[in-house]
Amino acid sequence: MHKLKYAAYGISFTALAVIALLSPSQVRAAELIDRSLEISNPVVSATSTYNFTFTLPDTTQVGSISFLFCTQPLDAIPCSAPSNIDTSNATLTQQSGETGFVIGQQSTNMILITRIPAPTSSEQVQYVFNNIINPSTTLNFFIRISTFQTNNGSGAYTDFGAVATATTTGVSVRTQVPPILDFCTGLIITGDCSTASGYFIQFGNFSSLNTANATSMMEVGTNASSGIVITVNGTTMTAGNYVINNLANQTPNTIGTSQFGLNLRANTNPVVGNDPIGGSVVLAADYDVPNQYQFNNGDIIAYSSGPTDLAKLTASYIVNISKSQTVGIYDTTLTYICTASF
Amino acid sequence: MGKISAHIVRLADFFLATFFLLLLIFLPTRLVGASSPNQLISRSLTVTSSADGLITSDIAGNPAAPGSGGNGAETGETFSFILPQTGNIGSIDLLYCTTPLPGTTCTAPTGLNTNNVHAVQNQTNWAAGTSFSVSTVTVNDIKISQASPVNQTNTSTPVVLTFGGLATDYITNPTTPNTTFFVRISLYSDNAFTNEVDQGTVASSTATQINLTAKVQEELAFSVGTTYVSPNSPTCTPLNDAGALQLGDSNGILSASQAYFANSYFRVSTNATHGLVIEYSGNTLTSGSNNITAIGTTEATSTPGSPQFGLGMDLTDPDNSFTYLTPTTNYGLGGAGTPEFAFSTASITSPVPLATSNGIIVCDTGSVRYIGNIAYSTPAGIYNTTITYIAIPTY
Repeated sequence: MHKLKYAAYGISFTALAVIALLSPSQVRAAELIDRSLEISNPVVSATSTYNFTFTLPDTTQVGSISFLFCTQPLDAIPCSAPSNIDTSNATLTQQSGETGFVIGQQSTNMILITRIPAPTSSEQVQYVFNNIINPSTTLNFFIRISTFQTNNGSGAYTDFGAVATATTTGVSVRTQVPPILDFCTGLIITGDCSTASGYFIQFGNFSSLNTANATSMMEVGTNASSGIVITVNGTTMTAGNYVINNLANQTPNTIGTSQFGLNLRANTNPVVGNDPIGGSVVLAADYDVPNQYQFNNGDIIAYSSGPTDLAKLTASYIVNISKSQTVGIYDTTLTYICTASF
Repeated sequence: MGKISAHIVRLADFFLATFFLLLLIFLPTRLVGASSPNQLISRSLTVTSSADGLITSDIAGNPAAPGSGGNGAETGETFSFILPQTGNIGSIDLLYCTTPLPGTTCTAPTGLNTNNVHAVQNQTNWAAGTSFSVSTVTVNDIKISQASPVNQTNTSTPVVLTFGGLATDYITNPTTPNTTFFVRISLYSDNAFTNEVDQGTVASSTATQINLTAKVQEELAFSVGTTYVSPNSPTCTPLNDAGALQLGDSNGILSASQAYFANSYFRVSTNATHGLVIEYSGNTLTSGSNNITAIGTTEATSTPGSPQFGLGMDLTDPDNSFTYLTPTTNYGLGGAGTPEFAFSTASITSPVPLATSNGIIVCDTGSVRYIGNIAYSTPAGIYNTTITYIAIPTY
């Protein structure tokens, strides 16, 4: 009697274990192969496109495929929908491999696509759904994919497989571009403004027989949306009450005539200066003609209509004197002013 | 004379009675001692499998080798017992029955089959010269014998006989699980299975196999953040912050004269056997209608003074722990330690692979390095973008 009782217990236990571990559908089902999911936007609560690809493991006919969104992948576990996932407005926008499907049923976490049942070719398939709203929290979640021979998802599934994906916060990159005005002057500027050096020009002794010339440089760069204006400020060269005449208008270099002027171009008479380098600074017309010189206090010598990358300008100065030029030490200080409008 | 005769007759009767009495006393003992075999001592039967005789594979369909625990159709059996007495042994009969008692009717266990036993695989501790071979087999009977009986003198240690356990030489268990069966062992002093001298019965049983089934579910743990935290192996602690990243100086300001860099991180583990792809998606830095030009889809070096926004895997970052992942082309921060970057604004709609693996990932942390350069002409403003990272495992 004991033996019979234990045998009965053993048979019962085995049966229960088998029932618990293997549902009938699991026994029959094959696993979907090479299954993956790409979502276009993993940010929480974002509206995203879900692109499923997988390979059917056999040629059993398929009439419907369900996509069940759950927090766990195993079909033996009741499906708990990820928080606030919403597939109820999803649309099937692309399909390949096994085709002819339309959305037959859908809820907040389930999409069932259906067609007239037809044999398959054990091939890779792709189904793309738009307009799925991601879960509202950062989490890993799963989509259980099941194929059915019926066209309404009824009966035991034929094949099964789950895919995983995750919502994330994304990385928000923030930075600031400040108002920029880099402007500097010097006798020599080899690089940016940190390389500017020199401020004193020594012409030596003037002569009515030749032209004294020299250069200085300035560099400007700005992101001022309305651009910049550069003016030259100061007086002509003077020695007490004696002056060397400034060139009020564009004038060519004339030896033996009292002249003080400048321009921002490469000149040949005399050979002095360079054309602007870089940026998008525009030279004022009065200072933009080679071999033509001018100087008036407050003249605009260059400007830009908007932001400009670093522009290097070379100011070329000429000084001529007449034979009647009064002896003296002539000098001046020129100030360049750059005004940016942001 | 008559008295003497009578006395003689009484004496004769006495002796005759005594004789018959003694005969009655001793005769049964002798008869029993001469015809009843001795009991084998310390008998045992070791089977290679208790699975029923229909089983040749496990629950997953994996075949079980003959002679292994999971194969009840092709088993091996080892008999072990101590001989109770010395003397000649010439043949042995192993009879499989549903009941143990010798002399009672033997019913063969259902499904049991010894027809495929062709040899004695092992015979140890027998006297020198012992060499049993299979004489005859039936579905439930194995008879072995040797050409000439050998005097067995070992009565202290078990003698052993082994049968089957091979692909071509095996015993099939009863086909009913949880069934006890018996083997009646008879030893004969001759080699013709005639003069039984020792006997004993051993028991064994088939048993239902316990099938254990479990499923390892699809796993993906993917997190993104801007603050590195230890993975705390083997936990693979996820990154957990708001994902805010400031690019620039301490005030988050870019410069036209120097490049600025910043790092974010992702951490991933998966059991996807067909690999995983990490993709990024996003726009370059924008401020209203202004933007900082993306550095381009081909890796390039940093050029301060030129507007550049890009990213790449920072393999030089000690926090980067790529064991399974490898950066994709253009996103490996260049060669020879030269940081290089790339960025595709088309990733907004077509995410771009940043790193890939061919199989599972136990726990990899990726350090993504961003570069920000501006020109002097880059319009002032607060520039933002959100880069999202997508993990795509293939199971």
